[in-house]
Formats: sequence, C-alpha cells, structure tokens
Amino acid sequence: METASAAAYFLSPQQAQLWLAQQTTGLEPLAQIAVLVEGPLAFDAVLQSLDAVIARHESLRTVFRRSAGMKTPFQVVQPSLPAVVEQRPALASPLQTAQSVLNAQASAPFDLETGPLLRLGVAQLAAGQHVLALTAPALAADAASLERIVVELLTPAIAAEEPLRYVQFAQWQSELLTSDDEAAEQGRALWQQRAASGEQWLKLPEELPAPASDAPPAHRHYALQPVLLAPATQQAMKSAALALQATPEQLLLAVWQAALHRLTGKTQLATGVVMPNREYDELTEAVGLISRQVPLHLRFDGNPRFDEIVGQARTALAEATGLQEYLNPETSFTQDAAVGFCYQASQLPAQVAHFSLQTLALSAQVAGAKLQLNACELAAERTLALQYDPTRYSERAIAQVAEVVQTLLAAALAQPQQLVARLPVLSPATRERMLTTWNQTAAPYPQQTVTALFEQQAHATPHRPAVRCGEEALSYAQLNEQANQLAHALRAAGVAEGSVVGLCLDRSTRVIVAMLAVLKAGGAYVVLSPDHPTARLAQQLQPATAVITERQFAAHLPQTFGPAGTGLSVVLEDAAQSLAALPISNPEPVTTPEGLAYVLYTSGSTGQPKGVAVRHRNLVNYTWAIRELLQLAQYPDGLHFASVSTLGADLGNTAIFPALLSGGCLHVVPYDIATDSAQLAAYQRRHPYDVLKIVPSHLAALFRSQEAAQVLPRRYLITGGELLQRALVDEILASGATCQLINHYGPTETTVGSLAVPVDQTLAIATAGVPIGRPLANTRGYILDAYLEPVPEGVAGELYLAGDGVTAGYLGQPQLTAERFVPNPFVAVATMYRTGDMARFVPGTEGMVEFLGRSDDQVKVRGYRIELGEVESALLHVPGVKDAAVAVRTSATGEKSIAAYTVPSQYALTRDQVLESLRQQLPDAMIPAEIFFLEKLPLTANGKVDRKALLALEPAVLERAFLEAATPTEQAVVAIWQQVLGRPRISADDNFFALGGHSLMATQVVSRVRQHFNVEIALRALFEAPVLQQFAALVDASTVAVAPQHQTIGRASREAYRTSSK
Amino acid sequence: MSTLPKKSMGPIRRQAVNLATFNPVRESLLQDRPLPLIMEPAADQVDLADWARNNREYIEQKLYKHGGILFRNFNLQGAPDFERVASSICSELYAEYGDLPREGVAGKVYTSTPYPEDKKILYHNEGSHMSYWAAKINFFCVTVAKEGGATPIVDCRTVYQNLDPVVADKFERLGLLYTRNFSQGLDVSWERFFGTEDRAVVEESCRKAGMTCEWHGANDLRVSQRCQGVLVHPKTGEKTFFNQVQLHHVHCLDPETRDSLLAIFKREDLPRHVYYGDGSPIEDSVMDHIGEVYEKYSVRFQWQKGDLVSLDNMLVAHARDSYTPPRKIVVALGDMIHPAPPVFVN
Repeated sequence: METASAAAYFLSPQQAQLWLAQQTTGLEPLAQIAVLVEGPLAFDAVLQSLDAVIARHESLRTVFRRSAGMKTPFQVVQPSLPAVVEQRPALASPLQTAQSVLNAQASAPFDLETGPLLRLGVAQLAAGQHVLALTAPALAADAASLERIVVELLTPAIAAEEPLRYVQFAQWQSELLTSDDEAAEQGRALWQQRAASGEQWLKLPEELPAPASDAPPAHRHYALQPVLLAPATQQAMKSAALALQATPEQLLLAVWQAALHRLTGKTQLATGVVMPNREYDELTEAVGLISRQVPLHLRFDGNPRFDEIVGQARTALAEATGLQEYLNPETSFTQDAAVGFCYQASQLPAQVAHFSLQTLALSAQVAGAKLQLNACELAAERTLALQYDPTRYSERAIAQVAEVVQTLLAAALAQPQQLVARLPVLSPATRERMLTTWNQTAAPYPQQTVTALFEQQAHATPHRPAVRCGEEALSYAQLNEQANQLAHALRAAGVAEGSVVGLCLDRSTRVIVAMLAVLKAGGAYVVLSPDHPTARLAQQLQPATAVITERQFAAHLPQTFGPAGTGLSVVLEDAAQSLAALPISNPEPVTTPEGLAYVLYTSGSTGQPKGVAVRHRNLVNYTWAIRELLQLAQYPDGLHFASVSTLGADLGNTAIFPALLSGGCLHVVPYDIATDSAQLAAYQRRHPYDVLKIVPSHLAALFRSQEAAQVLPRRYLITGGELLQRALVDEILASGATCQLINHYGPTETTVGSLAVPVDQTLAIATAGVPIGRPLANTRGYILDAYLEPVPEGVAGELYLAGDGVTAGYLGQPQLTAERFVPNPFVAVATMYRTGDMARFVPGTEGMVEFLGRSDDQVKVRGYRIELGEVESALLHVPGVKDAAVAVRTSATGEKSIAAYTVPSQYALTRDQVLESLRQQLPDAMIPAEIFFLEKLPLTANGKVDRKALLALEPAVLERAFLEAATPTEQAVVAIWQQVLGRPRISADDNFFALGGHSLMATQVVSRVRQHFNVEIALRALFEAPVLQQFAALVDASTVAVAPQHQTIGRASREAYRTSSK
Repeated sequence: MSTLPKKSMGPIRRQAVNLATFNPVRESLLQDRPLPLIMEPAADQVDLADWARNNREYIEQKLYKHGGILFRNFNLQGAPDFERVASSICSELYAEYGDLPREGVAGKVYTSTPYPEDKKILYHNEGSHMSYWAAKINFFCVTVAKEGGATPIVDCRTVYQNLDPVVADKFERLGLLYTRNFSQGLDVSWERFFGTEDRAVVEESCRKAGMTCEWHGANDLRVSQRCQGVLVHPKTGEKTFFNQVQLHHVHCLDPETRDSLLAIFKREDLPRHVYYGDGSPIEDSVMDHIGEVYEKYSVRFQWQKGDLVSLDNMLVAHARDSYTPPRKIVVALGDMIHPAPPVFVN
C-alpha cells in the first residue's frame, strides 16, 4: 500500500467533468463491452493475460483519492491492483448471455478509492465459443480502451512498446487548455464562440427537475430504452447515407437533433456529442478516459429541409473533430446536464490470433447527460438506444421520445428533401389515438330549436319559478306569456327569420323576456351593454332590424341604425300598454335549428368588433352538454343557476339555457350584489343557488373577504373565461367548500364552452394552472402545428375545435370567417375553428388539455376578451397621439391590467385627455389602467413594437409629458435643480426624488434657494413638496412667511432620504 | 473515424503532486505590503469553502498578522457561494445587521451601504460606534464597478502608531461620543429605527445599549453613545485605532453638503456628529490629520468579479471610493463580540 505521501496526479478535464457530474446526479457512469469469441480460448490464459494488461496500463490500477479543499480527487497509480474475474453461465443466445453478464457486472458500485476497477466475465456457450465481457468505471476507460483490452487479452504478444501513461495524457490535455500555440488559440476561440452563441439547453415536454444538489442521491445507473430499427430502416440508412454523402453518424445526429427540435420547439440546439478524441498517434493504443463530450449546435430557424440539417451535422462534426482537444468542459457545460449523442463504431478486428471476434455490445458513458441517444455500429448492424437518468424521465416519457426518433428516422430516410417541420413524428396509432380516441364525444341532443324546447318546458312546469332578479321573479308561464306578447309585437314590426334585434336593457328579468321574444319572433338577439360608448353600440346595431330598450338608455342609443338606417326602437315602458293587449299564446314557429339564435360581439384586432353568429343547433348542443356535465337528470325539480357576469358576453349562457331548458330557475344577480361578497352571501342565504358560473378573477376578488365561503353555490361552481390558478383552487378547497368545482373553457366562436373538467380530476396533475379539460359532447379538440398536423403529447401547439359547437362565423365578415373557420382535414365536409390559443395535452392523462397562452395579441383582463390591436387602434384615434402600443402588465399578485404607451405629437397632451377620448370609443374593460408617454416606441429586430421592452420599462423611466416652468420662481428653481441634479431637462411636474435627488442634494437645493431668493425655507419643505411646482409655490409663500408646518411626509420622500443615510 | 493523418502530442510531462504536502492555496503579497495577504488556488477545482472549513485557525492566524486576506480566482459564482465560504471562515455569520439591506438570495449576506455612488465613504471599522461588533467582515464582488469603486483598507495598528501622540492619547483616554438626532421627516424616524412608537421602550433599549437619550422639540430624539477611540485587540493585545470618527464628523462631508447642513442645523442638532468622549468638540485640524494618516497608509486593490475579502474588523478599517455604476459588493459579518464596556479617563 502506498502512504499518504504517494505521488498523486490531477484529473484530466474530462475526468473532472465526469466526476463533478457524478457527484450531483449520483449516477455511476460505466464503460462496457461484450464480445463473442470463437476459437481455442483457455480461461487460465485469459487470467494470465489480464495481469499483464493491468500491469501495462496504469489506468486500470489508478485509484481516486479525495483531498480536503478540492472538488475533485487525485489519481494515485498503484503498483498493482486486482480485477474481479468471474465465469458466468451461458444463456440461450450470445446476445442474451452478453446482456446478463454485463448487467451482473454493473449491479454493484465500484469503489473508486480502492478498486478493483475492472470486472471481467467469461461465459462458455459451446466448445470454442465464449462471451467475454468487461466493465470498468467510465473514469478509467472509454469504448476504445475496452476494445484495446480485449485485443491484448487474446494476443498478449501484440503489446510491444510502452503505452502512453494516462496521467501524462491528463496533464497534456490540461496544458492544452492554457497553451499559447496557434492551434490551441484557434480551438479555444471556436469553443468560446460556440458557448456564447446563445445555445439552448433542452427541456423535454415531460421532464422532472434535477434533484437538489446538496443531497447526492444513492448509487444509481442510467436506464436504457432500445429504439428498434426495422431491417428496412437499416437498409435505408445505408442508401440514404450514400445518396446524401453522409456517414451514418451524421445522419443519426441530424435525426436526433430534428427529433429534439420537434419535441421542444427550440430552433437552436446544443447536444453534447461524444468524440473519440484519438486524433494523436500516441493515443491509438492508450487505455483510459480519452474520449470526451463536445457541444455541437445545429440550427432549425428558417424552416430547413432534413438534408440541410445533415449538411450542418457534417460540418459541425468535422469542425469539432479537428479542435475537440481544446474544449474546456468547465466553461462549456455549466448548465443543467446536457442532452447527449454518442455514436460508437466498434473498431474491433474480426480476427485476432486464432480467434474470430464479434462485438455484441459496446457502450461508454462520458459525461452526465440526462438523456443521450446511443448509436452502436456492430458489424453490419446498427442499434439505437436512449440512455437516460431515471429520476428525470418516466418510462412513458422515454417511450414517446423513442417513438418520435423511430418515426422521424424512417420518414427522413424516405424523404430527405422534406422540411424537418413536415416529417411525421407520430406513429399512425398514436396519431389516431389523439385525433379520434380522445375525441369520442358523440352524444344525442334534440334536433329542435331553443324556442320549441323552452315552450315544451313552460308547458310542462308552468308554475315553477323560471327567472329571478333581486326580489322580482317570473314563473315559466309568466315568462313564456310575456315573451309571447313581445314576440307578437316584434313580428308585427317586421322582425322575421334571420332578423337581428338589439337588447339594450338593465340586468333584470326583462332581458330574459326579450331574449326569448326575439327567438320566438324568429330573430337573433344581440345583447348590448348600456355602458358602452354610443359609437360602439352603433357598430353592433349596424345589422339590426330593431332594438329593445328602456327609457333610461334610449337617449344613449344611436339615433339611426340598421341597414339603410331603418332600425326600429322599442322602448319597453312606452310599449307596455300595447303589449298587454297582445296574445299570450306561442307564436307560429318560423325558425329551424339551423337558424341564428344570437349574435355576440367580441373584440376585433383591426378595431372593428366581430359579431359571432350562433345557431339554435349550436346552443341546444351546448345546453345538452352542460345538462350532461352537471347530471341535471338527477334533479327533476330543477336547479337554481346564478348568472353574475354581463349578459353581453357568453359566460352567462352557461346558466341561462341550461336553467330554462331543464326546469331550473335562472337568477340574474344585479351587478352591485354580484361584486360585493357580503351582499352576495346575503342573497345566497335568501335565495340559495345551486350553480354559479364565474370568472376566476371575480371569484378571487370575492374571496378576499370574510364571507368568501358563503358566496359559493350548493352544488356546482363553474369557472371560465380565464386561466384558473392553482392558488385560487387551494383557497376554495380550504374554505370548506362542499360544491363541485368545474373548470370550463371555450371561445364564443364554438358556442360558450368546448372543454371542461371537474377540478378534482386535475389535482394530481403537475401543471402551472388548472387544465381546461376534455371536449364536451359532440366536440373535438385538436392541438396542431403550422401544417395542421397533431403535435406529440406534451408539446405546445395551437388548439383547434370542431364539432356541433362550431358557429356560423362572423356576421357579415366572410373574409374574417374564412381565416378562422377552416376546413377540418380529419373529417370529411366539416369546419374547425382556429382558436389562437396555445395548448398541449398533459402527458399521461389521455387527452387532458392545458392552456398555455395566446398565439397572438388577444388577452383576457378580468375575463374580458380583448384584442390589444383594438385598443391600439382607439389610441391612434386620440387627437395628439402620434404612435401607440398597448401591453398587459401583471402585478405581483397576478392581477392583469392594460398599460398604454403613447407617443404624443404635442407636449401638452395629458393623461386625462387620452382617457376621455378612449372612453368615447371603448367599453370600460378595455380602457387602459395606466397611460405612459414615451418619446418613441421600442422596436424588435424585425421592426415590430417590442412589448417585452415596454413592460420592462420602470415606471420612473417613463417620461411624462413635459411641463414648462411657468413662473419666474419655477424657472429659477428649475435652474437650481438642474445644477444640483446634473440634469438638463426638468419638467414643472417632476419630483425631486424621482429624478435621483437625495437628502444631501436636498440640503444643497435649500441653501441655494435661501441665497437666491433670500428667504427662510426649511429643508423639510423639499421633502413635503418634492414636485417642482409645489416646491416653487412654497418658495413663493415663504417670501412673506415661513413655510407652513406639515405633519406628514410622503413615503417616497422618506425612502429618498434614507438612501443617503449611512 | 477520421482519415486525416494522425497528429503528434509533442513533448509530454507528468508532474506528480505530493498529497502529504499539497496545499491547494497559494499565498502572495500585493506590492510587498503586509495588507492584504492574497490567497489563490494552486490548482483547478479547488473548493475554497471546504479548504477554509479545514483551515479556519490558520486563516485566523493570518488575519491577526496581516489584518485582511484577498481570496482571488476561486471561481465563486455568486452570493450563495460567498455565503458558503464566509460561513467557513467565520464560526458564525451575523444575521441581524440592521444597518445594511439584506441581499435577497442568500440568508446572511447583505448588500453594501447604498450611499450615493458619486460620494466616497470614508474609513471606518464596522459597528465600532456601538457596544458590540463583528470580529470579521467579509466582502464579495458580484459586479465590478465600471469605474472607481475600490474598497480601500488600512491597518489601524499602523494608523494608531503614526498619529500625533497627543491626538492618539486623547482618543484613547477620552473615547468618543457619537450623537444622532432623529428629527421628524429627516433620516429614518426614531419610531422606525427602534421599531416602536413607545418612548419608554426606546429609553429602555438605549439604556441597555449603553446610550443616553433625550427628547426635545415636538417629537425629536437625540441619542448619544460613548465608545472607545482606540481598542486593545482581544487576541493580539495590540492597540488599534478602532472607530468611525470620519463617518460621523460633519467636517468630513464634502464642503457643499457640509455648508448646507451647517446653514440649516445648529451643531448639536446635526443628524449625526461625533465629539470627544467628554463632549468637547473634535477640532477640524485633528480630523484633517486623521484623514491624512488614513490615506497615507491605506491600500487600494482593484476588485475583480468573484473576489472575496475577509478582514479582521478590529485591525483594519475600510472605506469606499466613488464609482460609476453598476457595482455590486455584498457583505457578510461574522463572529460577533460583546466586550465589557470601556473605561474612560476624563
């Protein structure tokens, strides 16, 4: 045994990288080989050769000693070190035997401090036929080393001259990293440039975080998942390689990176590629960890063809081969463990001495890659396997990667000129499962109109309460009769099938009467929000035949509207008497299920709102889907549904028709009650409701009070309209809620809702927000790429919706309709709606959808769907605004608000002027919460407004409109501030401390002001009046008297002073 | 499988290391001056935190001798690395330092004083105006200033030995009286500083900390504390000029600020000021003399990203030059000591 003073050597850079990776992952990297040996093999002779081999190669007797103060151990070469040698039983085939011996050799960890460091196994298959297997820690040997050992074991005489000692190689390799010779400098420059080129480390769709670094996990091994290659693929690889003038290594690297690109969406990929690193004569026969991993980058931007990627792989590999020895792993692999690629071509000769050899297995793990594609070239065959860290990936996740590699490889070999983006990555079975199996939603629903169904319900339950608003309630019979009278009037006024009728009414039972009346008359209603600007109401009434309103809103409505300005206004108070005289019987039906039921306006990016035209059939289908979701058949007496949101958006429709077409009671809760927890809780006690549909941010606001739990419904709480945050769910559950929580998703264009999920089914799913669920009855959801092909599970794509909810499109806007309602490529003669929502299927959930955000500028603020383009368009209409952009700011508490960034054409423009002008154009929900003035808008490289840059602007940086100093005092104070603050431009409404002033500067300002004006003014005056105009006013006041004493000081001022204290 | 002709590795050496004598840390001096001692890694992959933990006493001995150590090139990546090393150098890091803003990431690391960047912070021993202080102070450079921003350091034994003996003796004999005025609207309010609105509680904490306090005006508070001007180092027994007279004396402010303050406040109402321990004023000429001695014996080294400086706070005073942002130096104090109250001869 050596003593503590024995000679020790530093690790090579690749050993250090491997050691550090091993410390953090706990994975033990190994090198393994198994060879089928045919010929007169004598076990004793092998043992003898083994001693000689170990004596010859220092790596096989070099142990690793830790030393205090060092992150890595030292290599200590021992005079001798035994190997572990075992004779093992043979199994059915050479390959099985090889696998079993290798597995046994890997089962226990190596003791790197003491050895042994080599395990040799021999299994006799038959006389003259053996499997020879070797396993060593990857710190001690690479693949080529093991092959060299096999050759030397079988032909001892081959070893003639003294091989290179590994510790010499280690030192040489380290010195290269600091060497000043030209090649070294060139090499280092290349790798530095690569490291700086913004490489993207990959995270796969289903990947777990690395375990905490301070708790090194127990001894573990990489897991392996074979990727099966059909004989035809093996053959195709050869011919494709020939045709593309590429090596199989280049081809497979291209395939691997293409697969990673398709799985992650990243366009610039770095993969750690294992290189043999034996470009030097002295290294040919050396044993030890010579090979290393280098990061290679392929680029997928610009929609490349597969053969172009092969070309990139060829160039990158060639470049790296020449300069690999200059890579410093410490500066190139600092991030999370890389994704790797390793192509091992067995170099073992087919014949040595009296033996013929065939490599059965060959692998060597080089650095701590969390996932690596291992390709092994053995004789004529190639095998592929995914080697992975089992704590980072599930077997299912890896099976998906294997399928993508397999499918993409076969397709790329068949069509190398195809765009990478268009190569299939899903097996036909997987594709079918995503398109069809997850969309099996067929369910029957009545082929009747809403009107007919409501009339049947009114006939069946005439005395039940149908609708309630506050203390006012109507029975089914009353509701039906009042609607009939109004319908008869509308018919008489010319409302016919297909007519559009506006409803501009307060939240009351009247709205529901009017809705039904319009439907009965054969028309389609448009619910108008009375608080919208007149200009906007005029846009929405443009196609209308009539509007039903109340006296209070009559003056607010446009004077003329409708086609050719012929629209008719029905003011309910004025018409009351004549209505009462009309028949209460159901009017003769004139509509079919294909007829329009309502038109709902949503924000339009061009500045023009879009009217979504919804058919009776769409609405009946949705209503029946909700009946199914809520299992309303269980409640023959009908449930009470509360509607707390504006009827001008379709959120409310989750309550209205499921209530009225199931014998339930609809509660139209007045706005002031719906927004006050105490009042809503009182309402719930007085008129209990069973079902509540609400926007999460509205609910979150209600939950900030004591009464939180008391506003909850008795049976079902349905959230929709925006992302449901986990935190809110936790709050609801913690409040002791007994109702079932359901998350609901759907654009207006596919009728209220398309996906839903009971939240308790999502609690075990690890997503940021609550998933939006699975398609409702007769709805199909697809998550597609730009070529309308399904993306793999877990990968983000755009959500498309098809089925019976798909509406008739945008009223009177065929071009817009054609853009968003596109032919469904998966079903003959059908349309699907392109939502613009990004989504993914949550892995392992068989089709549960997670919402990931918008693909465009549409945002949701407090549940309202807003096109930022529409707000921008309105801003540009504000007099004095030259340019404008809008962005959504998210507060620390997750609340969203719209911020407007305007470039004024004149300095005099004020925030209030902008707001006033916007209020004439936009509904309240679309009015920006903040208005900022900028000199110009930041642009991205390709000339678009850079919203991220806008959001990154600190409020303090955003310059307000400049206000010129007006009085002589203000002008003099400006001059003093300019000197003290060192700023050229100071506006009369600037705050001293916001401009960087601190208390020491304040003392200077005050003493200069005293001198200049010859007045008594206290230092605190500046803290009390930090805005220039106010401060100047105090100066003016102090010419006749001392500044008044104020009791309080603004927080900003205190902060400002504090920064100057010691 | 390259078809290129193979390259040759050229001359190859193998240099062994003797594990029994291997020291991962190499020491040197800056311009041959004793302060600071520079420690650098002697090899790749040195683990400074681990080394310091195993060599704490050795580091302490070096600190007693040199006053400060600059650890350089140890590849420390940020505040968490810094905290690991600092807690290896110190037996215990101090977690409750009210004077400095806490650095977000790590637990016991503070951002250095947020004083205006265009002003110099003069020489001081951290906490020497209080009744207890840190034996060690550690600085770590996260971001090097664009320009300026050095942390000058000076050995306070040398300062003591080179002061005019009359001045040194007066400081030693009388100590210093630090005063602070909390007047409404300026500086931190007394309520916030003491964390209470109860005057009795303030009086009690002052008493405990050995401070006197007096109320005046509407709601203004003046506190004074008598502290040593010269300290006998508890471990080495050497005399050291241990105070922060420069930080508190109004004469040390830049002329413009000083004149502004003096135009506004009477001397006894200045937000901060310092007197001889008996309450007599420290002459401006004495302050000038002290400033000259500090500057004459101070050492400036250029910060490099990842530098860690560990000082014996009682042996070495530090300052900060003005700078052009950005600059980020974080601080960790360690090994607090609570000495017996000093005795003065008036």
